[in-house]
Amino acid sequence: MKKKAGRVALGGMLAALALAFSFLEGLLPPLPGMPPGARLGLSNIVTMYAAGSLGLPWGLGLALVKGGFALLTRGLAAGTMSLCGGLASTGCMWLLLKKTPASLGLTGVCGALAHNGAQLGAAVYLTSGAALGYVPALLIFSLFSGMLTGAVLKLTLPALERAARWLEGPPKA
Amino acid sequence: MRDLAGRKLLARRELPVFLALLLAAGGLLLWTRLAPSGSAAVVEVDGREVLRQELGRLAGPEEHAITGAGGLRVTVELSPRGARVADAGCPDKTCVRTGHLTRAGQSAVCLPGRVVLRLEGPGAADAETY
Repeated sequence: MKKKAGRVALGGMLAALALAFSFLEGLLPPLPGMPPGARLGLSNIVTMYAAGSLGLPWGLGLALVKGGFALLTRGLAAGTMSLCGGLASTGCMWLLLKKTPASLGLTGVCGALAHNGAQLGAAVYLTSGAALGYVPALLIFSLFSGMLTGAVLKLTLPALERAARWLEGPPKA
Repeated sequence: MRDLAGRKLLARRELPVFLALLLAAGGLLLWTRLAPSGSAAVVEVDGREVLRQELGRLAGPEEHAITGAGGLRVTVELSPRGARVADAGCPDKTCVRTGHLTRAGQSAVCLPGRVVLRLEGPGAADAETY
């Protein structure tokens, strides 16, 4: 019983963390030389942890919460984009973490690529192929932000694991 | 399933993957930087062309008000040297922040209004001229 309640608490905490990251990121000024609308994707750290450690349903759930938050605060277009990107990147990172021995850096980069790829697909669907002009800048940006995601997760993982262990109670022997 | 902690930040055997991604990114970037300068500005709403202007024929900067999807108002500024979205009625203003477009193939996209401003190169027109 304690384990289940602890898991729900952990999920809620991660969702709050993801939303806080999304919000903080929106306050940052646009990065010079980078494509407009490109965000660091800090909340991907949270979905990456959830997908790798708690399982796919938790990761996808967090992506849904993030999409809902973007929908409420930034409108339909931003909500759709966030949802497409979030679901794609969570699925991609889960596959890499579950089925391959990929490093955290590579997982982060692939997650960022999937995120941007899905968003680009949505943009092309909503408008026209003109959005493809963003491809080179997004590719470079994915490498940078994906590595950042992997590095931050590597650094914060011990603390996250401790919190998860504490919330879920002692493991069954 | 808790095997996150056992993973490294980078693995040496993944180096070729990273190198390939870097090469692809660098190549694409170079390709866009070498694109010819844009000769015509095109504005599309919901995939339909609503405005086309040969930039060489402009004497100076010229503003056009475009009404996008959902009545969203977008102002584009065309000049002999390029084009930009000067103002947009949406909260994100991603298209405004895209800045000045000068090269063929560059575009500024306003997703909420489904408005696309893009530049075309001289290629299409030249093919007819010769």
